Amino acid sequence: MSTVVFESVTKMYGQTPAVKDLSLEIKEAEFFVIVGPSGAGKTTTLKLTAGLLPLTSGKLYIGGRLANSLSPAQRNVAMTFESYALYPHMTVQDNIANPLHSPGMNLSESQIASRVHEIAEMLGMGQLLERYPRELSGGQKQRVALGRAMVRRPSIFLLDEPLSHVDAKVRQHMRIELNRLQKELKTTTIYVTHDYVEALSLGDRVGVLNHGELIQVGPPEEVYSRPLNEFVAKHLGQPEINLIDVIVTSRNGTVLLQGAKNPKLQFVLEGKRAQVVKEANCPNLRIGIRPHKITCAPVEAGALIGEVYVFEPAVISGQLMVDFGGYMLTVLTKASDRFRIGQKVGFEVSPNDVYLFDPQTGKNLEAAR
Amino acid sequence: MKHAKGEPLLLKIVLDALLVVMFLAILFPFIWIVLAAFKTEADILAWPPKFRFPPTLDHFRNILSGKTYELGKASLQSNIDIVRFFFNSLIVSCGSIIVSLLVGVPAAYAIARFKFRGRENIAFTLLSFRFAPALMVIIPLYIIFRKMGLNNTYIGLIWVYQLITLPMIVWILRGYIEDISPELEEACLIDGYSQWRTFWRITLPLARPGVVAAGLLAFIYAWNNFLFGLILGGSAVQPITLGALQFISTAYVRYGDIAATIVLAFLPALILSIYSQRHLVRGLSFGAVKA
Amino acid sequence: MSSITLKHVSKTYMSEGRRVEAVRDLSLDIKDGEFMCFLGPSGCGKTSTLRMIAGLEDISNGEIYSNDKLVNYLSPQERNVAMAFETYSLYTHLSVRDNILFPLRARRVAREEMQRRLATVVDMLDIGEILDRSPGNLSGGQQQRVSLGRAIIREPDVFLLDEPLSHLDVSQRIALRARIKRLHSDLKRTMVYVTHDQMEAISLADRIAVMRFAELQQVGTREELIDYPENLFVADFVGEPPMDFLKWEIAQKQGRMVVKSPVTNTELQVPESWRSHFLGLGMKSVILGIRPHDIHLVKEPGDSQLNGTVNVFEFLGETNYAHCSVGSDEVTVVVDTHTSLRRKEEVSLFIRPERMHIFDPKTERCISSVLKKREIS
Repeated sequence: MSTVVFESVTKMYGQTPAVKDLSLEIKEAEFFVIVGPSGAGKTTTLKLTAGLLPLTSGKLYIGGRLANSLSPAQRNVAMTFESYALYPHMTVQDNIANPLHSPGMNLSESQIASRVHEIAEMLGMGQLLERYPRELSGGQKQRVALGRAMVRRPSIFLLDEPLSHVDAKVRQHMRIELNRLQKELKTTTIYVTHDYVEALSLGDRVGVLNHGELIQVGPPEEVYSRPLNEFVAKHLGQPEINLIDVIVTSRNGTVLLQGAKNPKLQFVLEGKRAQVVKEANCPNLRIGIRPHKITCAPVEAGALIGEVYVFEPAVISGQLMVDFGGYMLTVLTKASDRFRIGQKVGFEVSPNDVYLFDPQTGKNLEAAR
Repeated sequence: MKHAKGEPLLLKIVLDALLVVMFLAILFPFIWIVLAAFKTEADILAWPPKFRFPPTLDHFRNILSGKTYELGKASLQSNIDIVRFFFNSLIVSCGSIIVSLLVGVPAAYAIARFKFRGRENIAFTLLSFRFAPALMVIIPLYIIFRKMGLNNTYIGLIWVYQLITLPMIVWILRGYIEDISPELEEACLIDGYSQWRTFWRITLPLARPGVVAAGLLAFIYAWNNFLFGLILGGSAVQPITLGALQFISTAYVRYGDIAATIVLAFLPALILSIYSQRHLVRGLSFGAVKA
Repeated sequence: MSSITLKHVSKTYMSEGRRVEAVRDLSLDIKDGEFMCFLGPSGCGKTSTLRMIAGLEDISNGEIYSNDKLVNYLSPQERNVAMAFETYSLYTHLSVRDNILFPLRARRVAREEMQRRLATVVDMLDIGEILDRSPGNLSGGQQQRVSLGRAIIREPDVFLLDEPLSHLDVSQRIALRARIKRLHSDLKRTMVYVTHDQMEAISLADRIAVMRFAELQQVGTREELIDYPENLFVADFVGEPPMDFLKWEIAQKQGRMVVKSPVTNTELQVPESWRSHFLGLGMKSVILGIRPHDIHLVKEPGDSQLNGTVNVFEFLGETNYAHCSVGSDEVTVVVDTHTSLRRKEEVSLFIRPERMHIFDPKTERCISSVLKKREIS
């Protein structure tokens, strides 16, 4: 069994909590991604799981056993580091074989050699075995680090930002490879990253971490489409979600939201949504609109009008920043559209695509609790 | 960055000439002594100084065979065993390095890796031993050594040489170990090894250039030391740096033999320095700069 | 105002006893006021080229002209370029204000002029609030803005930027990228930008110079690189997600030219206008390239030409990618945000013939790009 359970785990550095009261259950063979900005506590969580750092309080169970006081060697986990941590004085072959030479492994030389070759083949590194880490590219080093982790057939993989120092191009290929590998090996994996694209693409479930606290856990679609609060909505999404302060006016059964800086930006909510807003009883709200939910419309009366601040074309969609009377909104446009700086554009947003956040707590008013 | 115009040629010539002059000035004592070792006594004392002369190996033969001989009216017998002094130097220097490494490498590791109270204080205190001139403490040390019976013993010298070698080894190795990413050791722990095994498998091999550099540098300083051997040593353990003194007595000063002894004395240090140039430069800068 | 011309520029240096060629025979014209981007993987020579333009490195061979004046032997100061580095390189002992004013103080610019320029820069980069802070207290994005400010205030002829966004996290990167684009439009100066991230190149540059292994592969606008790549490397490197490549064959069939899978029955018709050219070439094996956003999911199986099964469905928020098996090949398809597919689901795909790219497997050159360009002209 290879589950990982955190029970109110806390890690303090002096007075500062790096991880605060973390409770989480990671299932067997699950690919769990922890995503958050730098300093959120992601690497600390991983090192606690590996046994490289002691817990300050709480309980950690690995494979059903209480692991708090187990040394890294005793936990049967394997870890890859953001800096790869390849042994510079050993060849690729020796690097990968290192775990197999440890006391307690009791493998013959030929068994070790065959396992190393098996892993090397799986990762496409057959010709690199005699090289030294300094002769390898970033992507190759990453694969060696993976190989070293995999060769032990551990029950848990811990991957610390494996793709952050790899060229953008290689990153794409490796994402798919990692996905495929994990499904093949069926090993429980905890993957840590600040790149939400990796989180959404790779995770069976995603956990959003900020300042040591776990804010939301769920499958990628849920965490993306139904964020529990502003932070989650901001962190998952590129470009960042547009956040606008609005003033609430309650009417009979509907609610009118108007931009605080520019009342021309307005939405009418009806039915259940209006209900939720009324119950919240706030005079102000913050609404969130995802850039790809804003569609450009012809410049005519009725549509919202703004001036193009900058336009960046791209392959699938262009990125437009529009100065809308005090608000700078980011819009993702169709690949074929072109815009010039200073051009007037019109756009529209469906009220259904608007998220409602409490201006004080940032909580999503419609999130199920 | 080069300029197409280049520096004025005259300036270049003048600067180069100055460099040559400086070079000669620094090397002159060495050149003179080496020459003297091959000159006869008469040639050594000749004025104006002779740079062309019939060379002789007599002095080397004398000192290496421990021969005594007469000079002028008085002839004196004394047991001047230069070869034995050479080996004394070897024993004391090597001994010091070995002890310093055994103690210093773990100390450097602890200072580099672990955070404990007084860490910087201890490290700096160790370094401060190199600041203080040995002359300040030599008399109290002499008295203590006499009381403890350490005078004229190998152990005594090896122990006191730690003042020279230990700080060097700890500080240079500290820099080297701090440069080794702790993640390499963490990876090895995860691979299934204990802290101790990780030290031997990962840390030491990677710190080896530092150990070599520090060891060589400390050896050279230990080998060249004069004061401790003079005051705290004796006829039994005299290092070769003192050997030359034997040739100075009330009756005579055997310049040739002194020169030959000195050449023999600095030869090992010179050879080691040239051989390990690469390592030394790296080692020296490591104590100063943190990556 | 400055145009830059590189003529047969090369750079070699010695490393561990061997000659290493960093840049080989690079010839390129950068127009006055243009935003030119050097794009390529690590080690392709792009940074070396930038540094030679800056004057930070010697040119082994060839000439570099600025406004038709030879600059090979001029020092960086004499070339009137400003550079923003990957690692910001701010003076840690000076405040933000002093960092930015530093180049002007070094040139003894008059006080009023300094203040005037400072005000412009502060406005452009929105750094009014951090003027008195020291670099150690700034985020990566703020530090990079200060670094840009220090470059802008000199009002140089040319801006050189060396991977300025690589150490920033995603949201800072996007914000700064937009700012740099806006800066270029406001300042109207020549900008030369180096990166390995093709997304940055596509969104920022007027023209992109793709480099690989010290050689220039192709220079062109983003449309030219995406729609008319000259070789396999450029086609693969530019565009996200990367182009799908299938090792197929080309053959005549009932008077038409088709590309077909050597393994299954799948085939696609090649545009009629290309037929005679391919007949003339007498090729058999080809590499068929299709951009993932040129493959469309169709509802009616009748409209489709390819049938596939979903291997991996990537939900990425703003876009979704479906990685499918088609016969013995694998293709990535961009699907819109409303579509969600499951593993092992069957899909029908459609490709417009003129969106195909056909490459010669031996030379790796793109034959279809040549034909398409001929058709336009």
